[in-house]
Amino acid sequence: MLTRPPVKFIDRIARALPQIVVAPGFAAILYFVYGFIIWTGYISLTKSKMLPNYTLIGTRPYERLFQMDRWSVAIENLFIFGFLFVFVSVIVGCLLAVLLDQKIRAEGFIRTIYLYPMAISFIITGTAWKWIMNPSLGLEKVIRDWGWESFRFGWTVDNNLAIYALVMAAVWQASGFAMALFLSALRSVDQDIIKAASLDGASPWRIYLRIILPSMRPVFMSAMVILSHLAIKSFDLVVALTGGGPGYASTLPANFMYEMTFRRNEIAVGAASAMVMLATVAAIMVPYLYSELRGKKHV
Amino acid sequence: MSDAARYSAPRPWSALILRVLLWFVLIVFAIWFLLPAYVVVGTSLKDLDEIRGGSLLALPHELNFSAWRHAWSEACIGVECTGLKPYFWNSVSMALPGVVVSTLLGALTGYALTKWKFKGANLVFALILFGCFVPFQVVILPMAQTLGKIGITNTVYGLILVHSVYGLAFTTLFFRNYYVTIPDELVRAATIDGAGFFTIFHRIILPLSPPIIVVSVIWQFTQIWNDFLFGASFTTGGAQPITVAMNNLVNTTTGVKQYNVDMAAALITAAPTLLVYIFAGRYFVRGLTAGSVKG
Amino acid sequence: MASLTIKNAVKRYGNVEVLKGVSIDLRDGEFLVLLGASGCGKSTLLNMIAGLEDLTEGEIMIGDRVVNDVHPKDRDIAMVFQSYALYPTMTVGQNIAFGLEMRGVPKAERALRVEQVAKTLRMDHLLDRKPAQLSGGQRQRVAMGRALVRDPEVFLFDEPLSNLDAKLRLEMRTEIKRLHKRLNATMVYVTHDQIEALTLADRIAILKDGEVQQLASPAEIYEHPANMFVAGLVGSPPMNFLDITVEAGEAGPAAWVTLRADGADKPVLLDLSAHTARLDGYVGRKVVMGLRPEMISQGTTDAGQCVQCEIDVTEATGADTLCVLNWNNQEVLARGTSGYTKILEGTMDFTIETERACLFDPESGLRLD
Repeated sequence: MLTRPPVKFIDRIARALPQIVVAPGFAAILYFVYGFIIWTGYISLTKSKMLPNYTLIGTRPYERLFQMDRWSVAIENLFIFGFLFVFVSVIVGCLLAVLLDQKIRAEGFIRTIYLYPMAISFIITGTAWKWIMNPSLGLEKVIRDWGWESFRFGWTVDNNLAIYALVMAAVWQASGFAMALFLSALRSVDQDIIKAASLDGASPWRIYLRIILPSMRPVFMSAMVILSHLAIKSFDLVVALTGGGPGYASTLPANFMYEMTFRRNEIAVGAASAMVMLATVAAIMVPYLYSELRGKKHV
Repeated sequence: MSDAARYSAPRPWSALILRVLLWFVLIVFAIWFLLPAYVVVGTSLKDLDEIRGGSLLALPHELNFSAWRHAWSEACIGVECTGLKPYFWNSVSMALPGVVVSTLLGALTGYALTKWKFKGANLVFALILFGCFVPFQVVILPMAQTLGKIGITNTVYGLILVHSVYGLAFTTLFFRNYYVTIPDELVRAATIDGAGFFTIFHRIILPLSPPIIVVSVIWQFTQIWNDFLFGASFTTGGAQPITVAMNNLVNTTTGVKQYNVDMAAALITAAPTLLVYIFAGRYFVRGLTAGSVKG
Repeated sequence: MASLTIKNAVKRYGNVEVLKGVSIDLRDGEFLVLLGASGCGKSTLLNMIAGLEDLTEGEIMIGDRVVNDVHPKDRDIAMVFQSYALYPTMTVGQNIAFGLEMRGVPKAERALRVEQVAKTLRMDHLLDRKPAQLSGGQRQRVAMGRALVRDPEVFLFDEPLSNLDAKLRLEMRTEIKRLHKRLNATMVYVTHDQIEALTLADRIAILKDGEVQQLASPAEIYEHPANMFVAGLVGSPPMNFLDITVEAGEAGPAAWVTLRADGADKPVLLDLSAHTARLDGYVGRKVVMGLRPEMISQGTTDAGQCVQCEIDVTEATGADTLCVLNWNNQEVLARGTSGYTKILEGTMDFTIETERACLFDPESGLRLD
């Protein structure tokens, strides 16, 4: 009779190595992301104030949250800011990408200029634009000195305009990134289709509008998803540019959460606002990631 | 280059006008993108009188670096008047280990998830991937608690841990997407040749990885250096990273507002990531789009 | 060198059964080709022999050793991959030596053996190059060298030629054949190319849906395919299949076939009395007759039954000219003449070797003998 040699112990370890190697990272993510989400979710249902308190009180913190004017302002701001930021960044990014695609000399140089804001912290961006928008010494003064007496650029200190100052700075920072996305997508469009279309007599304009841009739908989708998740997470820019003010006119949910948690001893309300933010991000990201992962399996 | 432009042959006149218009738009945008950089550098080189009296857009009369020196080693942040210097080194000693740990772990995780597919590998990846997009507001509270329990609140080590963990999702994504383009047959061939998990990683996979390592390092360095939320939430005083210290410096309300020092501080804070971008930015784009094995 | 035994190998992924109990016995030095379309399980089987995939059930033995739980590196096998799987960052020399290095062979001996193999494969001048600097044929050689240098008991080939162009493929095919002759090693070769299978194999195992359809020598498979699937897979141009009804003729079984000649349908009685298959039980029933193109040849000979057919289209391949005929409202390929010499058109004589025809049961698809 033949006997099977026993599986060597070392081979058994070797077989489990991939799992063993993934384990620490995965465990860290499980604990620090999912575990923490659960913790925050729990705290958002308690009567925690200055310190975590584990006594459950149901959805009262959420009710309180939605009664707070500061929160409604933050949510409203998020809608205005998020919509304008995503919309304008995509338009500007797309426009710049198409323009740069016209066989521009020094394309690399120009691209570098458009993209460098991505390398900078939102804190720097906020500080720089705050200085430019300084009502007494900034761009407003320059333009007025040039003769346009009624020019106003002191948006950061204006109740109604502060949120647009945020949009302006955020677009400045992110539209180069959108451009890079679109440019690489433009370059990967099937060239045969373009040849066929131009042989059919389509003008370059029509080719862009009817063929190239529609074929880039997935990239538009990615750009919008990534930008909107950036919008929801926006925190530092507000801190540096407007400080959420004047008053709390330009506050965003992320700043609200920070304010409640670290300054106002309203931990439960802060946690509740964080959970609402998470839900918003998840509502955007999960369907997107799901379709992305599924789509890739077929390739 | 896309061919859409190549096949257009409008009449010379309109072509010229279009070309001029095209350049006009490109230059206007370039000015818009460069304006803050110009203003920040310009202001940082002026003295306060020049700032108050002159135009924001005027060139400085002379190259005056005293604001830089002041921001670097003398400016007051809170009650300490040490300049940004110690905070700069805080950021360095936080960013370097953070980059190394998350890149290394990401590479190994990505390798195991793509080349040694085990049951549930896809689920593991999906769960890690979502970690990229979680708003950090949802983790700061429990993180503050955890750091307190381990006893590393308000230290650089705490921030290293935080950045390593939350960077891991991104680095894993980078490496995973890169490693799926490496043919599985390479790993099989090496297995038959007698190489094990780590030998294959070290001898076959790592030598193929420089492009994506560059991506991961640049990304992580930028993220960690530019972070504000974690720094502001978990540190105070002397342990703060430079972004937080810079923000405090700018928003210090005592005394005369020194715009030139503020701008110099912004410049110092931005310098490391800007330099990385200028010198290595193209490798970042190249690495993101590059396939692993040619031919 | 060693024999290779596969006993009732089963592979399941969840509920999907990829291999449904495959048993193959290979003697020492035999060349086995696993032939089948993609998804038939042939690569899975090869990977199981290599140890890259586990068996769900069954056993694999190399020599007299059950290797189910033996790590690939300890199985004493070498494998050549379809994509060659050369290590991109290593030179050719390092590629070939890697397996030896992993086994702790001293450096000096490694160099010696690499040199020997490089000489055998006529690529000693390439040893310092990187794979990216090589042509497709050269890469293929390196992949072979990597397997050869280890001097394993069993060689495994996973479609090694399918990434080469037609001419190189022919060259390398001969090279592999020569190698087998010289080394006399046990080899298992996976391909979907039936010509490769016929030219290389001592025996061919034809797989479909995870089951062996036939395991036999190339000649046996070509002449006596076990079923319609095998008959249709092997042979180029492929076998013609005709639905016929067996009738009781004067001398024995026969079948009416409608041919087209001079623009009109003409029924012809094909005499099957000399066929080896016992058809008595099939009188009045439908069967499938398989005729290879060379069994229908232009001209009159004594080898079979002569009939007149109208030629629809001719296809000159250079060596042969093929004729498309119309029988029973169905296209039938016949071999015309050798070369381009004759013009073939209109109605001509063809000889049908009905004795060599294969007859199949239409329901089971099995060959009738």
